Amino acid sequence: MNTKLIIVVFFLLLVSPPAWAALTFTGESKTYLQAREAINGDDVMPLYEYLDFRFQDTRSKNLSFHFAGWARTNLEGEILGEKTNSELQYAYVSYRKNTNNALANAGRVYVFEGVASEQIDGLYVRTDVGGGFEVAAFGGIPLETDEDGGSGDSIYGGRIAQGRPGRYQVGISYLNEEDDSDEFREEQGIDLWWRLRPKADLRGRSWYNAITSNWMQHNYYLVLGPFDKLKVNAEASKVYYEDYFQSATMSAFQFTTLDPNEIITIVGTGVEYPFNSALTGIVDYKNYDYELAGEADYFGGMLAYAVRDYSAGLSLYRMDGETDRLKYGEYRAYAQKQWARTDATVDLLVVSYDEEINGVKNVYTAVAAVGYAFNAQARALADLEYGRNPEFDKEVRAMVRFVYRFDVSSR
Amino acid sequence: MNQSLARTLIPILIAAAFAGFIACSTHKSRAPQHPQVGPSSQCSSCHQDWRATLSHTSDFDRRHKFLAAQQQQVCGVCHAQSFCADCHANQEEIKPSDKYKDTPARNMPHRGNYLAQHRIDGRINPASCFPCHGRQNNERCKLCHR
Repeated sequence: MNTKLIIVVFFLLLVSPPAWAALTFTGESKTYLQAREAINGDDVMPLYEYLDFRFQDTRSKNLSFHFAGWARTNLEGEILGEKTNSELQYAYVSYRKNTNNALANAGRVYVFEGVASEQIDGLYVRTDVGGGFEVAAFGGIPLETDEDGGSGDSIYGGRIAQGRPGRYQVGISYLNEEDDSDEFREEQGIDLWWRLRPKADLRGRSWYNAITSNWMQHNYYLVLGPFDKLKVNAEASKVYYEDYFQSATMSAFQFTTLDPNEIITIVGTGVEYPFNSALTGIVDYKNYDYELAGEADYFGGMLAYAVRDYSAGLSLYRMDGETDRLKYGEYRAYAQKQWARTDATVDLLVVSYDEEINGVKNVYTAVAAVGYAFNAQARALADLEYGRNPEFDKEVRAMVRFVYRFDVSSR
Repeated sequence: MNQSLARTLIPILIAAAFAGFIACSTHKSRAPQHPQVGPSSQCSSCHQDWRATLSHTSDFDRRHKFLAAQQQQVCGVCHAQSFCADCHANQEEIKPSDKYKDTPARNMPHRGNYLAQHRIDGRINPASCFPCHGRQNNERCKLCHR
């Protein structure tokens, strides 16, 4: 499928003469070399190459081609039983019109439209249609069901929204997906953005499962402020397990593991206050209320300091679940300093469990990283991570990263 | 009309309708790229209107899903698609927290060895795991969760 898709998008590019008239080529190559011990005790050393780029018609800027993918080869050991692996993340031709924010993407595309948050091999189109209305539609073959080859798999859907710029937007969306020609997902969504006042911003969504005929989730987020620098946020969500996890393909989310009758209600709030231009204090609280499993509270706060060439943070959080197994404290401190071309980062994370896991109560992870910018286009980073956790008495992981940015124009 | 014919025809009809709209469209599209993206990700440092709500504040990791689902094109003004793909992938082998150890202020998930912690997070709120691992990006999960 990947090969066919690449041939199709390159063909579309080839038959578009304006695209070749004058091109801008931008992109990034990211190379990672990682050394670590796998959970089975084997040493693994994967080498990854991530490549993403975009060709754009320089003159009109209407037509472009976008590509991203990665490939891995192991210098030592295997990952998931394979010496090599690769993935095409996206590859699509995009046509964007200068009016009405009209856009058409064809190929392997990302779709984020209301209830849909998908990667598909197909077509995505959207446009404004006047009166504050906008419409989007997509159709093709979903990637998430391609484990058995994608035969008989299909997905389509869309979103219609109406709004007033800067004030509100209400959208309704729909998604229908089949796996091996069998009904897999049919979801409907309502999404909302309402800027009640200049200092009150509400965003949210409710999703409905048309297969189980019940709500999957409600999820709303309110931001208030800043009021003399003080900012407050509030979050409320409700998830109905039987309807939300109905289309899970991984056993951890299936009803052999989860209780389909469980319903979770989450309410939370956070306060953010910048003491000055560099130092900000944040306090968070979240309550998890289960229909069957009781309650849990997560609360804590952090201090974040940031100036042009230095940043640091300190956070202390506590999770209080119903049982000792769901109780822990999470403490983190980090600092980063930047010099002319060099930067250094240290990051320490401690998780202290109330109940031992594999005989371990306190889990430590310490990270040190050093970066160096050769120029505006090339940068290297090396990091070393040391940890003690329930799986390893002493875990050492290292990674080297090299990033190179392309920026080439043919005219 | 059988289902496979409907599946073929629906996207064609939708594409034709869009072609009609596009041909008749009038108002100017927003700029495809931000004219000048400075070092700050705080939109409010320049914009005082609704765009200030797009500022990447400390809670942005929790609320960016709403913005993306409603205004994907606005994200694209500053971010290439690869920025989303770095974390949101059908198949990914490197954790975001491993890719970005040099940006500790970003609240990347799964720091350190996440194996022990995932058992707790999965009990507290499995719905937070599901969007990334429920139907995709879970080859490693399936080693144990068969």
